[in-house]
Amino acid sequence: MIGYIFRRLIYIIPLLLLMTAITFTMIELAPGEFVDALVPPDTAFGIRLEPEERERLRARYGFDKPPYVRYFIWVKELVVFQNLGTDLVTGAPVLTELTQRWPMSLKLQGTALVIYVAVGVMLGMASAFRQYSALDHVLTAFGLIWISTPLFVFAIFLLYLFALALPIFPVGHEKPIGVENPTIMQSIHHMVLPVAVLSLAGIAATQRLMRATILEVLNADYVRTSRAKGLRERVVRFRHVLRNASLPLVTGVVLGLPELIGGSFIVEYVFSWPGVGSYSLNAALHYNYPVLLGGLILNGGLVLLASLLADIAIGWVDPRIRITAGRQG
Amino acid sequence: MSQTSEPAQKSAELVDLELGVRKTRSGSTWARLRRRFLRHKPAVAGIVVVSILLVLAIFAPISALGVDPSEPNFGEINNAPSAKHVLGTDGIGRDMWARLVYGARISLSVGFVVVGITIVIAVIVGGISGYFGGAVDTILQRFTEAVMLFPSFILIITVTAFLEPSIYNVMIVLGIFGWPGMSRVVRSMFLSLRETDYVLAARAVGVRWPGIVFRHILPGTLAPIIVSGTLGLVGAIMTEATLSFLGLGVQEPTPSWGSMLTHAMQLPVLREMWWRWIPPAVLIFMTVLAVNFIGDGLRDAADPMAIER
Repeated sequence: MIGYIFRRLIYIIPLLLLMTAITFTMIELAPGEFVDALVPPDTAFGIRLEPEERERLRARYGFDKPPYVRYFIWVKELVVFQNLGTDLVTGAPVLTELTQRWPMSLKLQGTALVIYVAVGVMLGMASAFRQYSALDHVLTAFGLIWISTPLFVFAIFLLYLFALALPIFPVGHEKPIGVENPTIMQSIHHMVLPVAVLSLAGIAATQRLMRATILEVLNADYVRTSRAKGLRERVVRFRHVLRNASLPLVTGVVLGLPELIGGSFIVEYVFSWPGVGSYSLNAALHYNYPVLLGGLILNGGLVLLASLLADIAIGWVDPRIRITAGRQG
Repeated sequence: MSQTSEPAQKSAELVDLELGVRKTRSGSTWARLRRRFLRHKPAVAGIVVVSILLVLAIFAPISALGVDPSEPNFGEINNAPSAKHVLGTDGIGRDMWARLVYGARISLSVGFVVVGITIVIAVIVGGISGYFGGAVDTILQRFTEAVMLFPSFILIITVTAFLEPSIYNVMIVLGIFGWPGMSRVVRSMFLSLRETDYVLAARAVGVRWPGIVFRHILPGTLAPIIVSGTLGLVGAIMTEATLSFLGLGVQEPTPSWGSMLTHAMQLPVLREMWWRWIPPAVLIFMTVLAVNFIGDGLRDAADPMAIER
């Protein structure tokens, strides 16, 4: 088992390098670069950069070196000095900037994750154990409506509802303006709307997945057997159905993580939340690629680690998988 | 369906069944698919909505009543809906109805092109993986997993921002990152179909692999590809709208539902000018819901295990 975990950990590193290399290449292939974003070549005000001046700027930011050299410098700095480069706009180290903002993002993502898994599982169970009931139909309809609403549309709707019609929740920032150290209540108050938006799509997806899985498990032979031997329905449901349905759930939750991260980008942008998402989005608009690569490494590593943990958890829950994994490792 | 028409429907089904016996086998399969799909009422409603949108989009110059969607008119800024401007005007006096209609063109064409790209990549990757199996399969599956697990939204915003935001870049980028789910479906279909008796028979009479793949296996994967394609369509429409909303997708003055909603972030617009944000929001929602309904209907119709009621 330890060998297996170790091999999986090793496998994450080339994947991250591959993805950053692809991103780096795409940035290189694209026309325009940071220097041009800094001083646009043809501004309306007639400010123009002399060619030599532009070259000097490029050299200052390191753009005079060929792309592959820059990529290797970037990798070397990361591996040897744990340095993710500097933010081209503020000049601060990207690692510092990211670690400062990351807890804010994690707070949103973590809360939303817990809420949507818990609520989604309960709704999915309610739906599946009473298939074709009125409740099932209502929940299925709501699930479909929820997954059909893009996050930002729902966010705008909440903005309208709570900024204007019913101003009981703040619609932006992580704390009241002018407050240095917000109380816990103030923080929670500011989290309500962003977390609600972020949870919603996840609830629908989890609920639909849970319903489909439970319905499939309910048809399995071991469920029929346990009913036939006279087990109480409660026991059948909790010991046999839910335990087996939890495996696809774990996989589904992990596969939903990239979407959660993407969603938090949008939510952070709409609600002016000072996290990694709004930081990266801003960077994307300013050709600030060290920040983007840093965000990619951070979030990509996070998701890959989560998938490793999920595989271990599945092996722990399901003896069938544990045995084969043990044999391999 | 009302009570009175039920017997009529039943007898029609009986005729259908009789015909089915005489018809060729594939003909009856498609007929059954169609019949089961048509019974799924939300899916039929979805087809109607998407068809209306398609017609509006294709004939945009006519359905926009000849109004140019990009022509600003500073004399008529933020006008409320009136006889002249059915859905009012936006912040620089452009007609909202015209912009919505041309926006449908963008949304739908991005959606369909992305699904096209997705299908090509998914069939190639999934097909090779499922048909050849072994080490090739393992490598391709690892790669698919990696793309699936990657927070692709970061890559998408990076690439769209750096490639100079435009509709074509949005299409290509979404297509490149959208295929893993479908390729898994294609792979599992290939895995099961290559073991069927008719493929074995084809092999026995000496059909080479292109014949087996293109004539015997690929047609069998069509239904699941279409079902998973509707999911891709939904994803593409939603992501395009999101990117345009963030300013990374379709650029002004080209109208897009997403970029029209960017202005809804301004409180005066949100408070006083409902015609500037409710119509595009409703259209995005309705389109996605309609395609989801169609997908559900197709899935039910194509599922061999579903009980015919």
